[in-house]
Amino acid sequence: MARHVAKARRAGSSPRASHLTDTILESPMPDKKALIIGAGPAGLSAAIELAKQNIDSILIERSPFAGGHGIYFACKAAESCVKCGACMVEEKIRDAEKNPRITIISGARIKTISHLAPFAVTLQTDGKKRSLSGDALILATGFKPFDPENKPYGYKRFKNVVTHLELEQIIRETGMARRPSDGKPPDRVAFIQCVGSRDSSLGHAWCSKVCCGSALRMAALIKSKRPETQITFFYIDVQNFGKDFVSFYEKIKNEIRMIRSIPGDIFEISGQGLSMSWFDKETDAPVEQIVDMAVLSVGMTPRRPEFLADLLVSDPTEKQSGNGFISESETARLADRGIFVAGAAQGPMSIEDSISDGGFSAFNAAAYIKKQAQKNGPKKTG
Amino acid sequence: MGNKAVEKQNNILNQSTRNSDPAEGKALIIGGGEYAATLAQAFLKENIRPVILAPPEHPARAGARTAFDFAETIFGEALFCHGGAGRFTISIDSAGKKKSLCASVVILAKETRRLPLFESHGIKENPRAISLSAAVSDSGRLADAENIVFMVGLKQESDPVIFEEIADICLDLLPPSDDLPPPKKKIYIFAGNLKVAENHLESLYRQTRRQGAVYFKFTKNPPKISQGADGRVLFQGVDESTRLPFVISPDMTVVDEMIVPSPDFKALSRRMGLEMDENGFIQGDNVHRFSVRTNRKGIFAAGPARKIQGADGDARDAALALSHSRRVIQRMASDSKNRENDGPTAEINPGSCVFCLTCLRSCPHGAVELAPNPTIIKEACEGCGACRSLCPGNAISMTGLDEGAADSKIKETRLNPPDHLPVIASFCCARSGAAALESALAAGQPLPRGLALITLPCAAAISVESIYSAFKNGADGVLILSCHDGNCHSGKGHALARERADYAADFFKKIKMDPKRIKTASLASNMAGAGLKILTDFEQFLMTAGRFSNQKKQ
Amino acid sequence: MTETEQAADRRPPNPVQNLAKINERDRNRFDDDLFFQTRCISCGLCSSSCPISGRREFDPRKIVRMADLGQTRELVESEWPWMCTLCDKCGHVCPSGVNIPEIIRKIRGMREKEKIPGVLGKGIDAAIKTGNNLSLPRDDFEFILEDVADEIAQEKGFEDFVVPIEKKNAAILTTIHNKLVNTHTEDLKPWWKIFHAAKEDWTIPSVNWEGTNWGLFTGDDESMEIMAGRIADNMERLGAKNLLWPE
Repeated sequence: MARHVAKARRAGSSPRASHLTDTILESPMPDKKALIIGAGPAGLSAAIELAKQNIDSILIERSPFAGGHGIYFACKAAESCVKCGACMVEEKIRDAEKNPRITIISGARIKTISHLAPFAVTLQTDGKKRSLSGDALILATGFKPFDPENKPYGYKRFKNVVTHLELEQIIRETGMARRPSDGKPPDRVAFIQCVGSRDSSLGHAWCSKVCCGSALRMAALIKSKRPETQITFFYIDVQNFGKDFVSFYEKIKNEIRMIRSIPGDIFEISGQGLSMSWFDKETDAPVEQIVDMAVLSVGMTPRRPEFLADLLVSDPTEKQSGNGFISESETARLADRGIFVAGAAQGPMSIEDSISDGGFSAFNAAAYIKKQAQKNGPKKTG
Repeated sequence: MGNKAVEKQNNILNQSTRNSDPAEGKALIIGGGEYAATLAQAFLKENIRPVILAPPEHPARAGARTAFDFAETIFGEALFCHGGAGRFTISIDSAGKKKSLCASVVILAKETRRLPLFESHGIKENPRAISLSAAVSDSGRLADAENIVFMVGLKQESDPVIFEEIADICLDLLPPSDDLPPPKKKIYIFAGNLKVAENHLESLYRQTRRQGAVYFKFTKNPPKISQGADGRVLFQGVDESTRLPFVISPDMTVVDEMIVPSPDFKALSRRMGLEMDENGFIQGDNVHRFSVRTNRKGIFAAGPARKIQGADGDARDAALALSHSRRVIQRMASDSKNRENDGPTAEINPGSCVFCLTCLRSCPHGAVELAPNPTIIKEACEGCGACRSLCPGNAISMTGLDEGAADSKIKETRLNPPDHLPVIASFCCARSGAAALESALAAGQPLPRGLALITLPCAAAISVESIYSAFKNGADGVLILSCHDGNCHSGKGHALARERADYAADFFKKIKMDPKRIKTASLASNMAGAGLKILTDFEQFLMTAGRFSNQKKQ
Repeated sequence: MTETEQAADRRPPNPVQNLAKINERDRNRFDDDLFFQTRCISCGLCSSSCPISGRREFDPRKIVRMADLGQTRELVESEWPWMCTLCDKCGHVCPSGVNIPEIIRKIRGMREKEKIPGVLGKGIDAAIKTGNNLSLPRDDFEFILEDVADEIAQEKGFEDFVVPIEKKNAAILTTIHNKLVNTHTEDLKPWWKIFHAAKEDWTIPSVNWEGTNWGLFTGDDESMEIMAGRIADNMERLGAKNLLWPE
């Protein structure tokens, strides 16, 4: 049957809500708990949702702090909130930390993990070994930012070439964009989009979704704090972001220079700055310009922790997504066994969607736990 | 989650274990489309009784078979929604008759509409120029065309849902790439910005390219469009990459569409006191509404009622709406207070109330009802304090919030004067200012020793009186740290606080006091550094300005 | 006229009148996705990196696009493919893995030999027939080499210099660029002297010695293979261990 018609039909039969199947009403689950691997926005959100359903959870986090990559993001409000969701990460951290049902173990390395319920996990933290067990498992392991070292932009060679995550961090810590070389605000900034995304030579045939929003919001912030800053935005296709995309984009595209081309090499010319060049198709001529700071919008790449293979117990007949993120079919197989996947571990995702997805996976995990409890509950006599 | 994943999960969790006690409470689902049906089915499975409010002209009305056989359906329009979470009373206009319905929760689930952009492109719809929806629903219309042009995102920005539909049609029409001889069909896609920000769309896009679709991307100069007498569209333009002009008059043109929210939301928003975003979806553009919340507790906006998203997003919304609803109903059934958090709630003292109805008009959460005198709906109150600060008769108090706490704190700080350092009364919103300063403290940054930090649930709770009180009790300066405009949980906290601070500052000017002793600033909870800087800068200013009491004496 | 239309007017070659014709894919001669040109997302990285982009409107992105649109004839007739240095900077930065130098070569190879620029066409014919681009006979070749060798032998320290022609089982076999036995014979001396000083074991074949493979330049794969094959044959025939191909 024609593919698009099949799709419409499938949507019509609404598998949308068929995750939401029979469960009983909330009753406290005193002995039940979930283990959540990763305390980023998705993991935190899952824990909070589980707690609301009276289920305890333990968050196992690799780094020394909760929040994942979310804690690098700055508030980019100029005169008003731009709805990037960065502050929501703080809120989730606060809510999780003060919730008695939620425990966060940070600085933890997972040593072993069982692939069936009850999930036994051994981990190393603070030099000590710990064993945990859970009735459901949620994988919220997030992503790895692309390292643009091998792109011709001089990342790690020239101080003032940074990734968009690093610029977010600079803004978060100092309130505005500043050059790493001397801490002064830049006069000329170039944003280069799609670095490491939409790149089939790297095997990254995906759009990382959030970088257009992050870069343009930072550009708007820079412009509002220092209107004299010259900003150039190099892109391929601008993606939508937020509910106010239409008005936001309409405004920003007239305030900065938007160039639908990606520049080639960046060189440093001492005394002047970073030299970059691109081809202007309207004048059929190469253009060279000097900027103080180049911001590379790096893509989200998969982070497949070692224990994932143990969990997946791979099936040779299974269709892989091929891009390295946890695929739809992998997610389905894991759900069969009480393992749920939340957030950017499945593919590039915004903070907002990661929060939603965390709640969603918790919903499913809770349903699973309750189902198992029912199955294994006291048998009826007679 | 993909459909396969969903089906699989569905199968596992399929054994029914229905609770023998049916849940109290009903869920009113406003919407007459598929999504409303989906939600209703989900709620039913959770033993929550759904009632569907479908529009008056709905086909089911005429007796046609629909998905609503399983749930009680009312045909009409919602007028007003009184009450709070767990006990709403919704008045409905059904075929001219007024009806009233009780429900624990209300879910807005109206479908989006498609707006074909014929007019904006200057194209008349005819058998050779059809809308995308027409192409999707009847693939046969493109079967005989030798060349087809799809338009997407030329005049207005498009979105991934639209692009996916176009890509799917292309893949259906173009055979796999290793077929020989080459396909007769030529498909061109004239695009502005290609929207590929959804899982698999980039791969889908490349697949269409491999199978022969040719994309023309336009940035500044879209092609000129005219139409022949036979209805064929004529495109004349310049290809950006090669700078070569071209002309094409395709057999079929598929005109793009905008996905727009239900036009009913404007009226609903007004009548039910619900926020809307700039696109017309019935959910405020505010991070505190992630994912399915509205400014009124117990009323949720899900799926196509709140944004353009694909099936995955819709599924997530449904689960979250269900989860929230379940909690509301359980709280209703249990004895505990029907509150999401144990924060302060407002209370009106009937003895002092003069019926001015300022509270009713200003409450951002619809938490004031006339029953018969102005009463706070506990299930709706979110404790922001806007009513309290506005009440001209001081008739409103906040339970759980110590009225004198602010005054005592400032007095105390004054009594232990930290040498020559000024006393700063800082009214901070718990979600932003206070959180940021707490982070700074936790990170080992010292706060000014003369700081009297007063945490409020929302900056809306600050009244002009509280600012004057602060000075009376010994403060040298008042700093208000609120959330950014657009980030306030209650909508207008910053604006209200600003208004009051400006009023007080104005008054100070009149009585020859320094208005700069009153400062407002907005920040987010994750900007501890910025918050600290505002505070220390203010402290510096006050040190040079001197004691407030000294100034008074002059 | 709009600015774009005016700009378009200044462009060579032929404006395409009917898009319906644009997409003629000639699968026999320009395999649809052989060079992954359908993957091009018009990002412009190639144009931005190309050392000659902008010269006489050369633009790699434009060339890929024209190839993708099946505008083969226009590309074959234009001068652009002959301006490219085949440096592959474009291919290196392309995020879609489009093999642009190969596209360029392919287009070059589609031009009729008489229309190939300069002496390249004639040179190929000569090379196929005689083993070198100049049709230089073997005797003349050897004479020139020995003449230069004699001159070197008159310099102090190089009295025993001899040019090893057709030596068997040498460590290195080297090809010769035709200009070195034509207009630039002096350029033979410096590296010969280095070999001598290093006591290197090397040789020059006296047949099929041409290192400048104009089959490569002109996209003539058949000629390219023949000429490369002859060098390989030389290696086998003379039993050399390493090939020095300074091209």
